[in-house]
Amino acid sequence: MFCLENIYLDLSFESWQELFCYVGKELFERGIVKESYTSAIIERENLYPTGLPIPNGVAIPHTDPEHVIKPCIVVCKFHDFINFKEMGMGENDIQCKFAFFLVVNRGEEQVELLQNLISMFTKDEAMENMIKCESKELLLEEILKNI
Amino acid sequence: MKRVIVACGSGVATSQAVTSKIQKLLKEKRIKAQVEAVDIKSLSTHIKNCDVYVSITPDRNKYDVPVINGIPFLTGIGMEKELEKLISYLV
Repeated sequence: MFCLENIYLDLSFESWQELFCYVGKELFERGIVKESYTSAIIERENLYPTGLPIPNGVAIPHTDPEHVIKPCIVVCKFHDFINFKEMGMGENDIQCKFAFFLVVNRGEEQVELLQNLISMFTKDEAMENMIKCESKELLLEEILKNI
Repeated sequence: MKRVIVACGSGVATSQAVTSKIQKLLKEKRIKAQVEAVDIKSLSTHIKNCDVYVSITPDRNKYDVPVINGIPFLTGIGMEKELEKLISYLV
């Protein structure tokens, strides 16, 4: 599910919409998603925001399986923060340092992975380490250690 | 047996993760209830025959059944409080 090519570090965008356009284009060009993916994740984020209301801001954007070609989890780390709306009521802004794009097509089979991932996001030590990671290799290592 | 529904759009297992967590917590407390993940598109059907609706999406509608916040079951933050509320509607 995780690999070095699917880790993007030091990203800077004004909004999550811009981030999604960038990631969507990248993933489409690499044959990971269909062309419809970008507009689908934007539409979904507008309806059902994915900013997790936890001390370390992480968003988990995703959409329906039909837009996915090669399932994976794409990890984005931001230079500063990008605001996402809070998952649930969608009112508050959550300042996110990371976004984990869940590019999956068999969601029901991924419950445990999702639970482990979210559990990792609530671990202060793991998140602090991830924030400090300057290289893709180290970040990947930290993630795999905690999943 | 009381019925609890959790709704989200399809795509990933968010509602399943919340459902699974609630099932586990209720089992630990020895409280019997049917907990199910349903598609948000068919919410209007399911809401008619459930006892509690666990919401994880923005929803300002008023329903005849009590609604509780499902996000704490995903993140673990504020979970005890929401669990207590849920239990109060089941017993």
